[in-house]
Amino acid sequence: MDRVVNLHSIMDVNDNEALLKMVERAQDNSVGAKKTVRNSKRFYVDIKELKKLMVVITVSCALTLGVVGVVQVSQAVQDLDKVKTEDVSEEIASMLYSSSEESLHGAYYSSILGKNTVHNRNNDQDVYYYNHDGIAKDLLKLEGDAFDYAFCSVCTDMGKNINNLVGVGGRSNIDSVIFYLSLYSSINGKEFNNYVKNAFDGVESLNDYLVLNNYVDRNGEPSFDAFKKYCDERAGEVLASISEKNDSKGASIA
Amino acid sequence: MNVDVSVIDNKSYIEIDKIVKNGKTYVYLVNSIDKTDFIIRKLLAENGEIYYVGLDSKKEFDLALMYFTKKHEGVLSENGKEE
Repeated sequence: MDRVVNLHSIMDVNDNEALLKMVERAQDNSVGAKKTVRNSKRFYVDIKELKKLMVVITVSCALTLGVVGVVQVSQAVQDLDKVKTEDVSEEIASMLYSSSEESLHGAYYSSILGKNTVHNRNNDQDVYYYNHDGIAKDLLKLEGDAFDYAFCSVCTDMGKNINNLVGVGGRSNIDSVIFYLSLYSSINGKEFNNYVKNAFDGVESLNDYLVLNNYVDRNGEPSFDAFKKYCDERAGEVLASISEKNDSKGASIA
Repeated sequence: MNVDVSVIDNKSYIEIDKIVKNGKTYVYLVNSIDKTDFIIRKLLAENGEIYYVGLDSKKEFDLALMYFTKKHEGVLSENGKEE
């Protein structure tokens, strides 16, 4: 803590308790503050003074977390940046399937698609297909970010099979899932889900969903890559949030 | 150095930094008179105006502070002697 003590002279604040109160006050004044118009004017401020102000905040954080903690937090933030949508999807699957009735001989499914892929063996031929109804019902146990990430991962996991026209009424695999999502989410029953009902209002295909949510390329064409990129960029934060819910609520997320 | 100064709750705050993270722009403001008074806001553009918006939770405050700490960790390692 020598560095922090050394910095006290710069800050005109001479005890740790005062600095902690400063952080608490900043937190109270920052969270939930009402929306105000930014009506700023530009002034010249001595750059040295500006640096001192930056140190005030940095040191406050250091005192809250400990100087070593700051380095660890920096690492944690970098680690969060590396998190991908697939990591969030695995966390969601562990929440959905960690209860005993959903586990497979004690092992948990690591994805919604994994649990809902059916394997038939006929005449020495291995045939795999997706249980669209089951995928939709599992997705409907989720809301908000958890749903968005799980849905994105279902699409990613389907890979080249996503557009195979083997679904209900000649629909593709993913459009069949969307068919059941739209159907179940709006019916009063176990699967009713207002979040999904609104997200898929009038949506009949993946392209409809992408356009409705503004995941488009430069030409305005639906782009799954844009959806995946958006999810990947926020994956760290969402994983932290979902993990926290998982820790506090067990397997129940919706 | 020219910086933006805004009046919030009848107090004058200097915008000492902006950090864009995951589509959100966090603004770090320090009271121009009382250096121990700092706040964090998000910027929101709406109907041709720019607004300061409060953070959603204490967790978001901690996260925003972490982003700042990460960006300026050099200040700590150099004992605040940056020029």
